[in-house]
Amino acid sequence: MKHLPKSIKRIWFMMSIINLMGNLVILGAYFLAQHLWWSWLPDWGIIIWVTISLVIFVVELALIPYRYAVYQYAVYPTEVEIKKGFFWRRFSAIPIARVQNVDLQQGPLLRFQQLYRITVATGGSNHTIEALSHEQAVTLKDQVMALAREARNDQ
Amino acid sequence: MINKQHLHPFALLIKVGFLFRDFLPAVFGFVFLRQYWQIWLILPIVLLMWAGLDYYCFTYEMTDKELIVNSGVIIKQQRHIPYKQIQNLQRRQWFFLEPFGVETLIVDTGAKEKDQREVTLLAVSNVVRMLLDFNSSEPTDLTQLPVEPVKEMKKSTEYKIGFKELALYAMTNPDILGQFLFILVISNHLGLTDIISNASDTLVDHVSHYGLVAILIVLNVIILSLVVVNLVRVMLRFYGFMVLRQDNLLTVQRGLIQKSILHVSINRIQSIHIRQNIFRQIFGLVTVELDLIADATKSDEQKRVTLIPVISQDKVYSVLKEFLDYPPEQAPIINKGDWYTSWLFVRNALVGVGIVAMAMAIFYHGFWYWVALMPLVILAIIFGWYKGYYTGVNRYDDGHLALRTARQLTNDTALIGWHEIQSMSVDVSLLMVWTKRANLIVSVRSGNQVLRLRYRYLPTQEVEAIFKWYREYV
Repeated sequence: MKHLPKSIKRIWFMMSIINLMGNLVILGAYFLAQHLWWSWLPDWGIIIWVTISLVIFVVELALIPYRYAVYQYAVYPTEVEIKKGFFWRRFSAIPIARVQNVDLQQGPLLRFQQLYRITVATGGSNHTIEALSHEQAVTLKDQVMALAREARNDQ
Repeated sequence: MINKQHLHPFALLIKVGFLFRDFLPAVFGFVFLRQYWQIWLILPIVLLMWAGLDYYCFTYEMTDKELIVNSGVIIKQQRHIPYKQIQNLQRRQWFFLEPFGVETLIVDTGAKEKDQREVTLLAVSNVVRMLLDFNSSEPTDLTQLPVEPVKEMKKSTEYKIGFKELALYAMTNPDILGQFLFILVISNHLGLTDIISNASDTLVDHVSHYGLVAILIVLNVIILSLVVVNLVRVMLRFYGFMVLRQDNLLTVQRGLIQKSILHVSINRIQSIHIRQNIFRQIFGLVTVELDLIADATKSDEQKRVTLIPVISQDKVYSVLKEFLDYPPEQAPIINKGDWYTSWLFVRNALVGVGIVAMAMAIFYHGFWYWVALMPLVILAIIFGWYKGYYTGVNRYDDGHLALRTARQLTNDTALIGWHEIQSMSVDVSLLMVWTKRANLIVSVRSGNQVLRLRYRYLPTQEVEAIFKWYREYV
């Protein structure tokens, strides 16, 4: 099985920073509300919120290597396999003959690292590989689609 | 082959009926606007004209490869439906249309997009037989097609249902319990108003003398009328219920006031569900349902087709075997969950009860709080234990799985073939690695989406064997 490109770690790092910033924005709103309108809001609310955000941030950072290590995928002539999760592990098998299309997506963060998000769609269920380099993504797409066409013609 | 033509004129009648039904709420609104009485003249004329235009603009045509439908008054639409893409055919026939051989035909392609949904031919005659022949893979000489209603088609296998079974089906419907509680609550509210209006001392007198007898009579009347209402409802719905198989075509027919017929090709069936709620379990009865690919417009009830509303659990597999190719000869052997599986489900249910309990405690936590909590805890334990007991999976032959779980005291055995499973996943949490348990998730198509059937807390060994089979089956 193959791992995701290394640069995904950078993206996960950036995402946890964005999450932290989002939490800080909420904190700022709390602070503002306390001083401008609702003076009854307790101070310990701030402490709890800061603690929670920091703990989440640290845990997210600490988990990045684990996430990277367990996130794997593979394309075989008969199926696509995706393995992910550390605390909650999921191992999915998608037969090539069931694949209907493969989608490539790219959000701003992924674009920054020139990565693509892959979605393998069957008749309704979607399976995502979080990030692949452009080359990997296109190869995977071509490979899966070619195999899918073959499998369908066999039937 | 049918050349481009309009629907049967009865379509106009049905269309007007639909339009009036849709405008009914608006009509009630107009009742309050007496000064605009002219609306009563204008509205019917407008509706009739609209129905007429709609009828005029709607034409259909059948070539040797596809059904072509032109529709739309303002926005014209032309739909081409290759016969190969038809997932199933539904026919509805009001009783008053039967003598004319006219019926409504719904051609379902299982499309997801809004403007590609099913095509409804409101009133046609003799189209069905032709469509059915197109749907079968063998091309036939189209000019030689016989034109005959289903009744006279050659029967190969057939299953009918008796009155006694239907009556049992109606009475073991868990909805009755809900309706009963609902009526109790309502009558209780009415009773309260009586108490307020009467003097309280005469009331005490009254209750102590006649109360118990009166209450018993009222309860009996309520239960009896509920049973009758449900019986009539089920009879109307399943009157003349019949399943028929000809070659690869399955036909399910039912209904009294509006006859409803479904045709589906056997290899389009995605999964079979054999369900049994706890009341029917007492009588040894099961319900068989089918998952099909269908359009988004259907309600959940319609997405899952009832193949056999009620049948004895001893007979179900031998009867199913006659209609479908892949069910096992007899009930597949599925391991019952052990105490640990049951405990995990009980635990989950108790967590749910705990959340409700905490929310309740904010408002009140006196003596009656604990009294109210007890039944919830007991229910959670029963539900969880039942689910654990009935959760299990097994492969009953080379290419097919039997998967069973339960929900709200209804156990559900799904029979699914390898080709119908869209994908399969195994979920394991860190704790479950240690306790050697795994969740199996099987995706199958149903309606226009995918059902993710989850079978939780199974022994890792069993799950891995099935996952291995799924990955290596060719």
